[in-house]
Amino acid sequence: MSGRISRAGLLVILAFLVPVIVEFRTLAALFGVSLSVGQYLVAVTGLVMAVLLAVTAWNLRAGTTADDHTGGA
Amino acid sequence: MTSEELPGEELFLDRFPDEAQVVRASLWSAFVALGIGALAGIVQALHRVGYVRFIDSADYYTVLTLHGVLLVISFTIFFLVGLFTWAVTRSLDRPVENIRFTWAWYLTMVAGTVLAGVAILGGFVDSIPISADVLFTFYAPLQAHPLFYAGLAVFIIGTWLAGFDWFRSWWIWRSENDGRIPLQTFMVLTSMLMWYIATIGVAISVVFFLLPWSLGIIDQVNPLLTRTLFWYFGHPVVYFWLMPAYLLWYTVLPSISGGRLFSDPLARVVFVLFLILSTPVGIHHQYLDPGIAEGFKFIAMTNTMFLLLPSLLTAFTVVASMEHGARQRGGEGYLSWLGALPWRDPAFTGMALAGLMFAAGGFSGMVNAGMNINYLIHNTLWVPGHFHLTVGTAVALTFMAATYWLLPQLTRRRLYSRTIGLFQVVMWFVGMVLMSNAMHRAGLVGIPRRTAEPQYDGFAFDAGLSSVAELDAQVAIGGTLLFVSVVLFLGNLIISLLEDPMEGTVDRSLPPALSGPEDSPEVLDNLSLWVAIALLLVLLAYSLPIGAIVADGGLFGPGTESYPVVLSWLEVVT
Repeated sequence: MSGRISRAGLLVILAFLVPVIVEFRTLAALFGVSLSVGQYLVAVTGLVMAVLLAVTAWNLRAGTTADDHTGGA
Repeated sequence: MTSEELPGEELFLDRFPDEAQVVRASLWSAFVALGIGALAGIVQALHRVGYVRFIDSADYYTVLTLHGVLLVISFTIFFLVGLFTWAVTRSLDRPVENIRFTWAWYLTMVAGTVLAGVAILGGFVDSIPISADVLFTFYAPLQAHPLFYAGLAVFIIGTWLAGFDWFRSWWIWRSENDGRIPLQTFMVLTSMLMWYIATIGVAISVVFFLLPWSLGIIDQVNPLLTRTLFWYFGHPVVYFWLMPAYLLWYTVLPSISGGRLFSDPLARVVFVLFLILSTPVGIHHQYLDPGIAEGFKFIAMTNTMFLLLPSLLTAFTVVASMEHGARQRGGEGYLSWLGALPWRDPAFTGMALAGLMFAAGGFSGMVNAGMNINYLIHNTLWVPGHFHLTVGTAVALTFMAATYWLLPQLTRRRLYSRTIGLFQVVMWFVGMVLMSNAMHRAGLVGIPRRTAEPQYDGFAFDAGLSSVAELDAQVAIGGTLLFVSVVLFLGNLIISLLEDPMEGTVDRSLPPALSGPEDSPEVLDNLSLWVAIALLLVLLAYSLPIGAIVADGGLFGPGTESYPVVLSWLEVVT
């Protein structure tokens, strides 16, 4: 399926990111990476930007020909 | 004609106008409790983390009681009775037998809430000798004003009468119809049977111990006995909150997803399992109570672990139903079908996010239920973190989301703003992720619950990777988002009702299950059998522990013998 990701879908994707953002330092620690608060803020900002870019790229790839009848995300 | 065939063209409001009025009244009672409870919630959250302190610390416990009682008793159960009235009426396709009786139980519940509410609010006014700072878990040795216990008793009697109302509808329907119990009615009846069994404990505790003690008729009680009787009720009440959410996930969510329920038989099995397994588990709340033998606690733990089964069955059935809906909408692939779900619809998104959070709550619940690891988190902030995922999100968010779906058929009004609705449910999810995550983390490092100011001189909690200040910030931000979410929810509803009535109708029909009731054995509908098994399990789980508690501590507390005390009390009364 190659439908565009709607704003509602983006909102839900960002909501799903919140637990990851909140516990990002814990996740990093599982891999032996210790982050300061500053490093953490930079990392999660980068994470959010990466997701936004990925969504934009997905929508560009889907283009204007994709149907949006799925109501979708 | 049964629920599955009810035409979508006719609104519930038009078909059953009297019943719709009761449903609306019940739901509004729930939302009033939600608004006041949420206000108490933000006050206590900001007080506890020390950001803003509007109240004296002594009043924190009044606020905490108000928050707990209004949200987990009034909000949830008023919504439940409204939803169950809607579900029974529409699934049997018949009005209630006597609308005056229906209004009578509703007003009984309102009266109970007002009595208990007055007792709680009296705690804010020193000049009035009324208070009930006993928290939602109102067992001894904390003592409330008699009004509080009387209010609880009246409220519960109201729910019993409501259950009778729904049973009576079914009995009369059964005398006129053949075939299986319609699924929604089956869910209501099994939930109520569980409730009747569960409330025996709290009724005995209130009527025979707490209320006479509060009135001064008896001098003392056995605190362990009242705790045990409370938790006999206190765990199944969790499922009483959850079962209406399950009803919505099983019968409404598949339709909103664009599909059909995957399996009616599995849904019936789940509700039967809740009926028989919900009650003989309460002792898992008492792992640290010294007066109960470890063996009884082990039995309670084993029973509790069996309760995972209906939850896992639900996860499978509901997700399968959603996938079916997504594929009907053009979804493909192993996971890509998720994108075909109606994420723009706040009713769908709210219920889906609520279900997801319930899974997380289930995982933390397993820690609570395990005898050994429970010791790590017992009475810490972990526990409120857990139940804010279950009742605070799985239940509350589902109820709010379902309201968006129910609104047109109950009021002939469209939702004022679906965008606000969507933001509201996502905001609840984000707020709860922040708050409950911080609560779980805080509990792991030993920060206590039920404490206005958990700071100690010369002692600092080691919060591991973060700091206590960060956890406090998460609680404050999360709590604020939750409060704003409630304001948006209530505001959206109120503005919707101020709009002009809509023309035409909305399709609120619920399609039949892919695997219908004909695929399940008829024994599933044998409610007497399941009640007998449930009572037997209760007897096995509780008779010996309660016998031992009474033998060790006396029916009315230390230094008393149960038999003579009852006799002497009877002599005083007569």
